[in-house]
Amino acid sequence: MPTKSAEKVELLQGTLDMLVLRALMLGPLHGHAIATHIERTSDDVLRVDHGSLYPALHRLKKRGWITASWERMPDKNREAKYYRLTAAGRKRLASEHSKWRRLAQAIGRVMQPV
Amino acid sequence: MPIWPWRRSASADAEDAREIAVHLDLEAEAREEAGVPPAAAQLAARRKFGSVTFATEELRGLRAGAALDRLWQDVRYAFRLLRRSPGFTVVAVLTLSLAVAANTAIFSVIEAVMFRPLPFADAERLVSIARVIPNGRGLGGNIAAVNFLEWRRSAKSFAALSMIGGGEVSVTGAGEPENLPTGRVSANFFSLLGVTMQRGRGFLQEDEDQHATVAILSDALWKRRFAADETIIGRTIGLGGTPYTVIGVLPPAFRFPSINQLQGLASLGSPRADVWTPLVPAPFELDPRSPVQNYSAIARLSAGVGVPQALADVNALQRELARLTLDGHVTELAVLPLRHYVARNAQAGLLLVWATVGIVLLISCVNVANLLLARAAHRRREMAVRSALGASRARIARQLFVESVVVSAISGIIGLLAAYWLVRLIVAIAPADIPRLDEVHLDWRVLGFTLAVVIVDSVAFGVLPAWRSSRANPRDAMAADSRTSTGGRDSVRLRAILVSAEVGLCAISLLVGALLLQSFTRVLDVDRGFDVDSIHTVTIGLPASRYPVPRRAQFLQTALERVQHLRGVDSAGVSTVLPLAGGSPVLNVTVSGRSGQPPSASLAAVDAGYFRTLGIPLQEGRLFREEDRQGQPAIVSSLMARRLWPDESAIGKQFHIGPVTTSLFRVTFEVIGVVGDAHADSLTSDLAETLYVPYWQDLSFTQRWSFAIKSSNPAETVREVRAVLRDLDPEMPIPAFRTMADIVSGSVSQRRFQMSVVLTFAGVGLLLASIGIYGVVAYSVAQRTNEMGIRMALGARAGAIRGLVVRQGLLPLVPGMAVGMIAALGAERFVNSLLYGVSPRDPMTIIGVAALLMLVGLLASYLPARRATRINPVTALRYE
Repeated sequence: MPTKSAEKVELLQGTLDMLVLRALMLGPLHGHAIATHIERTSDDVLRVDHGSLYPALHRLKKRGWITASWERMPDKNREAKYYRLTAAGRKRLASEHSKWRRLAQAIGRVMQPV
Repeated sequence: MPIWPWRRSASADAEDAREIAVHLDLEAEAREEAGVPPAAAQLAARRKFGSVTFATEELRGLRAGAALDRLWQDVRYAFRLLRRSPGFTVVAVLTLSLAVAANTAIFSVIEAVMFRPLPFADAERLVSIARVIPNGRGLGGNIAAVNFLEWRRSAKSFAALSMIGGGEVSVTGAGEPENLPTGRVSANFFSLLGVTMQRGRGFLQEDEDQHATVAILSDALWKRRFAADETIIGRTIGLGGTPYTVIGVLPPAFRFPSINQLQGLASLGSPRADVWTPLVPAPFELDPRSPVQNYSAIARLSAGVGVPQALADVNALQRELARLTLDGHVTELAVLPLRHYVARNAQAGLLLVWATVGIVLLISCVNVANLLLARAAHRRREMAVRSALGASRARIARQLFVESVVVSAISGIIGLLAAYWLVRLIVAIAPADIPRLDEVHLDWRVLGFTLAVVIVDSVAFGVLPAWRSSRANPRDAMAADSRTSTGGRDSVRLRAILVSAEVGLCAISLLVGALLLQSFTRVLDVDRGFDVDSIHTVTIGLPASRYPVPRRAQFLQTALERVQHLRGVDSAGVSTVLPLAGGSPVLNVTVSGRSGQPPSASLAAVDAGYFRTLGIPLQEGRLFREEDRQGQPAIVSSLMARRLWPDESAIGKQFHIGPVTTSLFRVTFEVIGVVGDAHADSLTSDLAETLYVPYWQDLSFTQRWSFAIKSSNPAETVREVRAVLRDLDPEMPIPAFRTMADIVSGSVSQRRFQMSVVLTFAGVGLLLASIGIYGVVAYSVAQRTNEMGIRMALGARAGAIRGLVVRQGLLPLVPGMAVGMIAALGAERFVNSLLYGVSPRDPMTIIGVAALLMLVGLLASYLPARRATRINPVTALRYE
């Protein structure tokens, strides 16, 4: 994969969960698609450690925010494990998102005082 | 939660693996589509993913209800690690299994001898009633029949009492005649124990009252000698020449302690009785003044009665009985649980042996803890990485602890298997006078003990290293890994403390072992008072029914004459008691005109040849002669002569045995000779006053007669003596001959056993401790390679370096030894009862043990010290 930006940013602790939930807003996705989606939509700035994605998915599933099932992949003769957002997951995403917004604004104000 | 979490997790693992595989494929495909060649694409996908193992392990850790699962994971991880460091694993497992095996084996002996209930209904209510020998000389197993009958009549504390007599009896009918251990018991004996016959019936009161000649056989005898004959009940067999009717056969599980053990005659061997007959005391034994104490007594306590109450009860009766005797002497009694009574002589020695193997266990735990600490130091980086990656402290500690548990569980299993063989070995070498040895086997109690040992084990050696390693701060740990730093110092200090503890434990067992060794050699050096060399003995039974007194004397005389004339025979003699065999009757000796407590003496009937054969010197007067048959001559031991006639010659003096008024004992003896003292009971007991009467005397206290033969050609003599006896009485069973040397050796067998077991395990402990010292010193040398290099580069001589290392190795020995010796002195009182002729504070022994420990410490630290001096300064400085 060609690198557009030399400066990749490590994910902040705890933000991966939110990004995963956000990715699943689009509909059911498998693990690889989630990782690709996050990297692509961030213009490859955010780097998802693929190895740590699955434990994160596991955590989310355990809390009831997502569900998983093996489904046939479209156009391909194979199955992948697809994850879906649950109602609780949507609610969680909303609260995470607003929390994140407030945090980002606060940090922005600190870094660029008027 | 499923019953088999790891099964479920196996399929969950597979699912994780599949999901990750799909991920990797998709990633690789994406890269191929971007134009990367397939192989490179796959490699890149993997790199992007990171460690698959790490991810799956983490997923496994996350799964719900994974506690057991994680444990399983830890166990597998532990196994993997142990396989990877076989050196550590083999040393740790060997050390621990040795300790577990030794402890399991010794415990199974102790359990059978001391703790296991006797195999009877409500066995804890069975007690033994014994005499207290004055002046703290222990318990006498023998009581007088007349006393027993009084207890049975009047004591309220007992539901039932039974009297027991032992001995051997020649059994004839169905095969060769043979001498077998016999039990003569009151009619209620078997019902008191709650035993029912497998065939036939037990004794009835009528049998006792009517002096019925009926017998009960052990299951073993019935099967062996009578081929499990179904028609045995009602058959007649010869016992000591008298026909007896078999009325019952005991069940196979019946195991009553050896009667020799009960009576304190364990030196005669402790076989269990094969033939049981009703006990009917002789008329003279029923006289309150009778001096004969031939029997043991057991009883079953009444419901709600404790031992102290029973004790008060019988002692009150004893005071009443004393009024009936002339001298008013009260024989004090002891009442104690039968199980304890039977174990009493073996107890102290076994506990000591147990303590020794316990020490070996502790040393091996310390050693393994030491090994683990050394390993932990090597693994600091691994731990630090794991901790940096987010493994919690508890997780790391648990991981390390699981490793210890795995090591200890493996050792437990190996140790248990080894114990199975070790038990047999111990039983084979254990002295015969340890009671209930045939009951020794591994049972659930032993398994429980081993399990407890394994658990304590893993806690003992696992907790310390686990706690230390988990405490390590990752940053420090990473930094300390460099060999140039002194980060390992802390761990070296801790390990030095452990070595100190090992040495201390070692000092205790070595000191005790050395004291036992000294005692043993001193016992063998005791002036026995008789010769041992080339003397063979054989003991036969001459039952009164077939050998009334004149015939017995005739038989012995003829046999002696023929034996003395055999080729190669220097001399031969006969006696009712052999030295060290114990079991001679003790009688009161009175001298007319003297009052007060009469002295007692052991009685033996002998011929003159007996003294010559055994080399017991004649000090004054003369030995028995044929013409003495008219009079009542007696020979006394030197001690007895001094006791009775301290200021004058004993020759020509007269005395009586037993109270003068008892007609049966109204014989006036005249002293014709004084002989040297010979140890009668054991080499270590005080010399006893001994009284010898001629063998033709009518004193029917025994049926056992022993020949002692000194011969220059023993093998042939034994054969010929056997032929002479067989010729004189074809019916007579002739047991195996024993040399006097065997008898002496048998009398010290408990000591030899204690000594060899304690010394063996002290040696094992010493070996382990030296491994410990070596390990610590070698490790610290390896750690200080750099420092050594600098010292040498700066001109330190090899000797100085060696001195430095050796000093460091020896340093922990000193406090360890000091504490160990003090602890050993603390156990002085306990140890003292097992020692002979040496004080537990014997300075030479203490110095010797200290020197041995120092020497071993020196050797163990010299090897790594030598290595330290071979360090090439240049290599050492580059050693990074």
